[in-house]
Amino acid sequence: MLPVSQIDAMKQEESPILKKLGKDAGFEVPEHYFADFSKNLMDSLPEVTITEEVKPSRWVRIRPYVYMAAMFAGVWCMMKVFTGFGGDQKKAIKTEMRADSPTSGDKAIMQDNRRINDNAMLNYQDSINAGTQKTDINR
Amino acid sequence: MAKSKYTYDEEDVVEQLHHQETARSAFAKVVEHYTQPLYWQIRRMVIDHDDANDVLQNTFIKAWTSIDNFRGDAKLSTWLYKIAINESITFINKKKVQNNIALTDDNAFLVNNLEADEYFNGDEAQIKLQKAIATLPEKQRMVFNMRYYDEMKYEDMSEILGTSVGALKASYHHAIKKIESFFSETD
Repeated sequence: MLPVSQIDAMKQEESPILKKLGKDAGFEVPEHYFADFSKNLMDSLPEVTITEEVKPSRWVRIRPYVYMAAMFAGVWCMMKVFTGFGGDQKKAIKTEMRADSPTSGDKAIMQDNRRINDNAMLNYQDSINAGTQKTDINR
Repeated sequence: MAKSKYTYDEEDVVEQLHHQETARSAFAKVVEHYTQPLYWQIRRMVIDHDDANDVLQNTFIKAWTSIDNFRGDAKLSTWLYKIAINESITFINKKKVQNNIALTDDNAFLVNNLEADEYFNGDEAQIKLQKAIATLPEKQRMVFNMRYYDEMKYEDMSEILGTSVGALKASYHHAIKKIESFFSETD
């Protein structure tokens, strides 16, 4: 930040010396210089190729937005499909849990499963006995 | 002054510059419109008329050959002034190399032959002012010339030189102080 004194000085931009000298630098040009310059320059300019800017059509301008909207719509649809599928599954499990007590066949299967699991806890001799005896192993 | 055969509307001209069939005639309008302001800007930098003529030609040729790159984001005048200033600095540096002068800010060699210049009719005081201006650093010299002789707005100068308005004001103030002290030292 400049000091206030300097800013004040800048407000009075003109110096007495410069005021006395005026704004004519004393430079001159040959007669008809500017008119001749333009003509000579235009004659000496090389050929250039201008790449014309093609204005994009309305479809090209809105295309990115359409694609983005389509993408979001797609994502929303997928979420809807998956959420719907998950809902059916939960409903099915709840239905199973609400079913009546297991049948006698189901009970036998459940018992066998429990026996197999318990075998894993026996030692070697016990497992031989368990295989040969039809007794209840849950002593 | 001869009446121009062109009417100049910058917006139209810029539009025409972007089409192959109208670009050349549009550029002729640009040349006619900007020849004088650019010439004086360059002349105050390089001092000699023949040198200013060469630099001005190079400026317009460079502008024309890179017209495809000008998309109208900046003002046409800003773009042309930037090219002119760069060309002037390049020219001065080349001249310094040719004359075995260090590439410092000392541009006193430019005004050495001012008295003998066919296209200079200034008096002693004007020669002294040119010598004082030549002692300024490159950027201060440009700022001084643009502000003092062209009375250019600081905002426009800021766009051309890429410097803040505050810095330009300070630069101009320092330039005036240096010129005044040059005068008081040589009196």
